[in-house]
Amino acid sequence: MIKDFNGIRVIGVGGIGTALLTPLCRYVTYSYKASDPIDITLIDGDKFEAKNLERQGCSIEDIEVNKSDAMRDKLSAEFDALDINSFPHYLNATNISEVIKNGDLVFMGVDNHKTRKIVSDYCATLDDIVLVSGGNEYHDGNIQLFIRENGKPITASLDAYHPEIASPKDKSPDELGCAELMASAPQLLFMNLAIASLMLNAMYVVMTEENHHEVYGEVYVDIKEATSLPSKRKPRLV
Amino acid sequence: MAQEQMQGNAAAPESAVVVKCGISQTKVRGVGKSVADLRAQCKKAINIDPAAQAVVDGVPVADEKAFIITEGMELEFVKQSGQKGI
Repeated sequence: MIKDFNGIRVIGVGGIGTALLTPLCRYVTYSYKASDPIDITLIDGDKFEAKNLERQGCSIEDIEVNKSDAMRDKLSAEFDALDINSFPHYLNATNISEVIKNGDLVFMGVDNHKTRKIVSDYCATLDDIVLVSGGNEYHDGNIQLFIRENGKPITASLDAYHPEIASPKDKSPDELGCAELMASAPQLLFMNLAIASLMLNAMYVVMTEENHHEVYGEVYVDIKEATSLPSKRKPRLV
Repeated sequence: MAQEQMQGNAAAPESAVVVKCGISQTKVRGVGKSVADLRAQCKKAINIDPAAQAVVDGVPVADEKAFIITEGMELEFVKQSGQKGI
């Protein structure tokens, strides 16, 4: 094992987050030999709703329960050797330092660029961090891998080549009203699954690839085309 | 649509340049052309957004009209990031 992490954080326990959590916990339980016990923290301020049943890893009894609390309970029951915690709040610039620390592996599957920007900016202040972010439209999407080691960027931050993240025009969930939160665009379960799979693949590459400094920073995917394409770009400051 | 095709003179692969955007990529006779020219040439074939950042060999291009592509370079136009995921 090349790379070791202090803790694993999962921001957004929705379509992507619930898809990656079970295989992540299975991998950490049975295949990941950490030098110290590792904790997994689930972060989401939202509650499961009936409309989530078609795409997210919840069941009828989870409706109206906070997503991070519900998934913590489910996963803790299945993977009782793991230390799984919940942070039942939306992440923002004020509370992010409470949950994301130096040396963490952070997965992010949120639905707005504002939160991506907050998390990327915060990670850019840490010496050692691996941030894997995924996002999708209906049948295409991308993942981004932002790595910092020993105070230096190995790959580009999320916003370095993406003006839509550098200057987000959308709002974080904290800033949205109930009506805006309800009005989410349709998504496809299989697309969330493809993104979750690419995010876990990125973690595997970082953990096991001796030469992970040469790793890709972004992968695009389209499930209708059955195509994915990685991209390597130099780290840069915005 | 994913693409892997040669535009222009297919008999001169030594001057071919890979141009990427998202999952799409194409090979064109681009050596000696500016990044701005290649953006215009490949816009429809690989669906390049007008706001997409141009990147050559992993490094951002500041002046697309002034930057001339040479042998072996790879040009990417960075596709917007997917927004949803919850």
